Amino acid sequence: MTVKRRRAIGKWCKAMLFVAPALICYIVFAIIPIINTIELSFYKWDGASPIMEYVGLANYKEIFANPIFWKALSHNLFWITFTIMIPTIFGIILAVMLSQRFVRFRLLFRVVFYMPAIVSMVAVSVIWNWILNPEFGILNRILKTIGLGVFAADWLGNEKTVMFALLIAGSWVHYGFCMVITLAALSGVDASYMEVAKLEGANPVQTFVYVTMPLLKNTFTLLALNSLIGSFKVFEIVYMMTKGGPYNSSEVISTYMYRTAFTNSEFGLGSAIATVLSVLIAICSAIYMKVSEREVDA
Amino acid sequence: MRSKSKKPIAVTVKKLLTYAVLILTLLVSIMPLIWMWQAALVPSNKLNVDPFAIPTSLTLDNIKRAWTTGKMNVYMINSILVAIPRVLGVLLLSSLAGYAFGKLKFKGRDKIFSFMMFGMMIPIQAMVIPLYYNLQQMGLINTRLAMVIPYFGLSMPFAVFMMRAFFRDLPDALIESATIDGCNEFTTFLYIMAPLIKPALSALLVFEFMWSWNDMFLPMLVVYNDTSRTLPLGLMFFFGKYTADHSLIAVGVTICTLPIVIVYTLFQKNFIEGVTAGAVKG
Repeated sequence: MTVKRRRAIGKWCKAMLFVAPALICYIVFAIIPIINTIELSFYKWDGASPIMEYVGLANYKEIFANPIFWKALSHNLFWITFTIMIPTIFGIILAVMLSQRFVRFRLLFRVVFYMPAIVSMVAVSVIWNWILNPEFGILNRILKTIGLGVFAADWLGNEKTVMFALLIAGSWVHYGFCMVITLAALSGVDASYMEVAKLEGANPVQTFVYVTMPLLKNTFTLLALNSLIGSFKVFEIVYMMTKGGPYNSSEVISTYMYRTAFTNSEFGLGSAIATVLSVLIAICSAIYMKVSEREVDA
Repeated sequence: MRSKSKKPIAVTVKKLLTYAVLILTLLVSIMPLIWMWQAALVPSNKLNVDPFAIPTSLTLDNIKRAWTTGKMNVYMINSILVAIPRVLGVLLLSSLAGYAFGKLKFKGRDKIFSFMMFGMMIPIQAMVIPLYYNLQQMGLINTRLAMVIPYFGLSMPFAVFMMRAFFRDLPDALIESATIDGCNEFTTFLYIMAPLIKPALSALLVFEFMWSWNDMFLPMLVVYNDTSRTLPLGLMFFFGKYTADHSLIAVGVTICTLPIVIVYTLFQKNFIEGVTAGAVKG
């Protein structure tokens, strides 16, 4: 063995001393479980019995034949559309407003707008559960006070309104994030663009439409993809506020998976749902990473 | 002439409109939290009748009750005892690996790094079922350790990604001069590099702390007895059991949210930096 080669091996071993602890933990607690989940999705297993029956693709067939799965998926898609439309666009507007030169107390606004995003989803769910409560909730009470009492409803108990009620709570924690990301993007934008637009005689609306908006196109794509991934993962808020009910009218894939595996003890089936969910998220994430790389290069 | 006289009005309207939206959003963002915190101090006989009434008197009885009969003291200690080892472990492992990925040259470096980044694309739902059984075999169900150890692996992709980005930006000349001065890889890391990435470490620290403090999905599966419950689990349990006891729930929300809001306000710069770094780069 040459000295050079021996030195290279020594270098590699030293580097591995730094990498190995993290790498081993990652393999044990992330990679092996993923492989096990995929494996388990081909079996029928109740979680307790020593016998695991190999059933091939039967679990997947069962999922795709189950209307609740499609209902849950449609709710995820609804969640995606709504979060891209409401909190994402609202967050961008907030950021644009906040970065105007005359605005004071900018730090205060920014800190407070992001605050809902940092508290526990369990707490968020409890808070919104109270706000939306049909008996003592503040929302119904405001509606009654301003003479719109006819619209007061059992927001979380009604199949027609439950998704919107959950989405309002979900949006409350999300616009701050969108604002922070947009602010970072805007701070990178050369102020001279705006100056030129002003000198050319553009009014604020024109400046926004023709200068700011094109500049924020990448940011919007990034935020939309982020919402997409987040919307597939949504669990806590739905589980806490409705558990997917009433009658599966707010079921999402995560709650469906949780219920199948941990409540009904159908672990094979649950693993198959988790696998389908992961494939969906992995595809979105891969696109997201491509786009964000482009963003950095640009 | 006319257009000139119109301009100041347009500007004033724009300013007013901007402030109206900003202040309204400010209230929407913070009022639900403030109202919960004050509800924790309203005497329970009043709060149970009407949780939204303007309080006339305040009391600390609810907090005492939540502390003793509600076992909030146990939950809070558990939350702290879970957060500390989790945060320290993740910081240690990820800064070591991040240093190697960012500054050392070795065969397969980029391949191993990509392999670790793969984990960022996979949701925790894809791991929980086997994780649950692994933890059960290790006899860790219903222990605080079950809410700590898995994250040494699960938190790694993001943490390593962040640490690598910061180490990579440090100049190579630092390592060279340290080597000349007689440092080996490890002492270079400890005495030269680690102190320089304090901002990155504190950004990761506040994030990991927040995730630990607010964590619910995995803890909910692996812990179901009173002695190991963390605050979010305790609050969830409260919410299911004492639905009618509004004071106890309000105190639960307060103990769950107030510490993290304080940490966030103190470290808001790190938070914002971390959010932007995480989203734009990865």
